[in-house]
Amino acid sequence: MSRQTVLIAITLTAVLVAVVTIVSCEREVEPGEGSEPIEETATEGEEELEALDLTPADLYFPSAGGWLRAERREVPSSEAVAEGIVAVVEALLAGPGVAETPASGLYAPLPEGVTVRRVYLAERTAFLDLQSPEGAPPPPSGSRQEILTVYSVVNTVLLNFEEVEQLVLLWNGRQPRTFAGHLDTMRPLSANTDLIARAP
Amino acid sequence: MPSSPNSVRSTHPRRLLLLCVAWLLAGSALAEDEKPEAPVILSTGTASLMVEGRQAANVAYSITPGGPRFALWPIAAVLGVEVRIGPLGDSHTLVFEDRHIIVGPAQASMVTVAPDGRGERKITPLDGAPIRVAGGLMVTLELLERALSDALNYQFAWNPDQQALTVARPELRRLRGSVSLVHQYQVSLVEIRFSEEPRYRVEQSPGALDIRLIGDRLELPIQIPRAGDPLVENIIVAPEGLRLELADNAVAEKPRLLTGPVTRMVIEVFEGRASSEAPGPSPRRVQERAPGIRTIALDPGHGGAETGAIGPAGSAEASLTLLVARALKLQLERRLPVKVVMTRTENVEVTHETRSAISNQNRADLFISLHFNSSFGPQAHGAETYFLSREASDQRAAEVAATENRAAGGETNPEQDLQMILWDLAQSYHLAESQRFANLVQEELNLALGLRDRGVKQAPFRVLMGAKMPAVLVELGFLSNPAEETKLQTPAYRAELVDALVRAVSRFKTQVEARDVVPSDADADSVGTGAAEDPS
Ligand SMILES: [Zn+2]
Repeated sequence: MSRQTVLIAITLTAVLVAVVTIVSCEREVEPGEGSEPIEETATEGEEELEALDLTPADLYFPSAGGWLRAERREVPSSEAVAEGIVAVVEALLAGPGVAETPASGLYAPLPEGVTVRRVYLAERTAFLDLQSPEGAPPPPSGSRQEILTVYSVVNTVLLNFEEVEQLVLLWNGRQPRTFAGHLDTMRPLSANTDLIARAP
Repeated sequence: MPSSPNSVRSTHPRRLLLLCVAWLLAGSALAEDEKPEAPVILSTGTASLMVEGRQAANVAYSITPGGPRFALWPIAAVLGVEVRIGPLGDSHTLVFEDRHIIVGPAQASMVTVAPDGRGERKITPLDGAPIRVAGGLMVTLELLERALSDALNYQFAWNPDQQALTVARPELRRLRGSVSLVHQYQVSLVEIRFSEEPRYRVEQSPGALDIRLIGDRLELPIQIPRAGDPLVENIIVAPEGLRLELADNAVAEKPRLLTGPVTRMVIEVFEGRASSEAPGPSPRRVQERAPGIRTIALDPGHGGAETGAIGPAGSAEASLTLLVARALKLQLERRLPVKVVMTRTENVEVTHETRSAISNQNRADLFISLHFNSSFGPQAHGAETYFLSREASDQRAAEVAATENRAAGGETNPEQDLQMILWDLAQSYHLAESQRFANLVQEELNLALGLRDRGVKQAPFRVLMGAKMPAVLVELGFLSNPAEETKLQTPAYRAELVDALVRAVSRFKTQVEARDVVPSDADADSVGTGAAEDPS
C-alpha cells in the first residue's frame, strides 16, 4: 500500500516535470520547424527524468471493448531487469491513471490487493510471482477476462523489456494450471500483440 | 478378428478386377471436367534408358506438344516393377508392395490404392494423359516421377540432345531419430522424431505395428524409453525402421506425421475394448478407428468450487454449462445417430485431465467444451468459438520452463510437464478439423441468434490440449453483460443455442462422413489398412 502511494507520488511528480518542460520548450518553437525542437524537448525531458530515475513504460490495461490498450507511464527505472519488471508490474496492478485518461474505460487486470511477490530471471525467461491477500486463488472469470488479465501482465512485461522473451506466471509461489479454468499457464507465455487495440 | 495374412495374395484375380473397375470409375468421374487429350505425336524415336550410369535398355518415346512420353513397359521391367494389364487392355497397374498405382490411356490422372483394394483411393491429377500405342502405354515424365519416385525413390531426367532417359537413385539418407513414450488419459503416445522427413510405410499386424523406411536408414543407436507402459510392451529399433510391440489389449492407430520445425511421427495406442462397449454397430472395428462421428464428448465447463464467470444477477457459468450440456445431449441423441458422453453430470469440480481422459477412453470423435464468457465492463456480448492455438505446442519453451522453474524452486512436476508437451503435439493433428468444426459452430450460432460475430479464435485453452479428436470450446454468451445474462437465464433462449449446436454437429458429421467414403467393397470397414503380412 505504502509502496503504491510512493509510486503514485513519483509518477505525478514526473508528469508535472515533463509537462512543465514541454510547455516551456514549446514556447521556444519557431513556427514552421515543428519536428526538430520537439525531439530536443524529448531529450531534455529525459534528462530531467533521469535525474528522478524514471523511465517511460507502456502498461497494457484491459479495456471495456475487450482489448488491451497501452498507457504510457513513467515508472522507476532500474539497472537490474528484475527490479525493472517489479516496478512496471506494480504500476500495472495499481490500475490505469485517472488523470491522464479520464473515463478511459480501462481496468486494472487483477483485484486490488494483488502484489508482486518476487521476480526472477532464467536466461530470457522471466518468472513473475504474484501474491494475493490471504492466499486467495486467482479471481474466477470467463475466458475473455482471463485472457485479458493474463496477457495484460505478459505483454506489459515482455513488450517493455526486450531482454525477456517469455514469462512464466506464478501465483502465491506456485505455477497454476490456469488462472480461471481456461488458459494454460503451465508453460512460458509469449507476448500476444493481436490483443492490443489498434485504433486509439 | 483381423484378415488372415495370406488373404491378400490368394485373391489376386478378383482384386485386380475390382481395381480395374475402381480405375474406370475414377476415370469417368474425372472425365467430366477434363477434356480428353487428343494426342498429336510430333515425332518418335528410341532413347537410351540409363540406370545408375549404365545403359539398361532402349525405350521408345514420342514427342507430343505436352512433352515427351515414354514406353512404360521396358522402364518398369528394368526397375523391377510388375505391370498388370486389365482385362480390356487399357488399365495398367504398377504393383508395389505397399500400393497399387493404376493408369490408363487418355486418363490424365493416376489412382493409388492399397494392394487389397481397400481403404482410401487416392486420385492424383497429371498434366498429361498416357497414350496407347501398339506396343503398350506411353507415359509422361511426370507420371514416371509421381509413380516411381514416391514408391522407390527413383528420380528421372530426360536429356533430349543425347536422347537419354536417366534414372538415378539418390544415396540412402541416414536419419537421426529419438523415441519417447508416455501414457496419459488412458492412451499411450509414442513420439518419434526424425532429423528429416522420412519416407515410410506402415505394416499393422495383431500385436505389432511396423514403421518401415523407404529409401532411408535410421542412424543407430537410438535411446528407447524404459519399459513399463501398460499398452506398448516394447519398441525395437533397426536401421530399416521401428516396431512397436503391443500388449494383448492394445490397438494402435495409424501413425501420423507432423512436419514443421521438427519432424515428428505420433502413434496413439488405445486399450482395445470389449465389443459391447463399441460405439459403432460392428464389434469387429478394432484395429483402426473407422471414419465418422459416432461418439460426442460434451464438456460442461467448470464445476463445484470452480464457478467460472459469475454474472451481475448471480448466474454461475458452471451451472449454466451443465444445463446446456444436458439439453444438448438429449437433442443430439434424439436427432442424430450418435452417442454422447459427458465429462461431468453434476456440479462438481473435475480436472482438465479427467475431462480429457473420459473423452479419450470413450473414443469420442468430437469434443465440445461449453462455456459462458465474461469480460471487463458490461458491454462485451456475443458468441465465440475457439480451437487450440499452435503456440501451445511450443515444445522447447515448455522444456525450458520445466527445468528452470524447478531450479528456481517453483512447484512443478517435470514428468507431468513432459506428458503435457507430448499431448499438445498429438492434439495439433486435429487442428484443421477442429477449425472446420469451429467455423460451423460459429456460423450456426450467428445465424440462429443474430449474435455479433466475434469469430472463430485460437487460444491455448488447457481443456482442449488432451483431446484426441477434433475439439472446440464454445463461449455461448457473456454473463458480464446484464442483457445477455437475462437472456441466458431463459430456457427458450438456451434451446435456440442448443439447436444451433445440433445443426453444427450434424453438418460436420455429414461432411466428415461424405469425405471418408470408402470403395463399396462389402467388408471395407472391417480392419483398416489390411496390410497384414508379417514383416519379419
Ligand atoms: Zn469458462
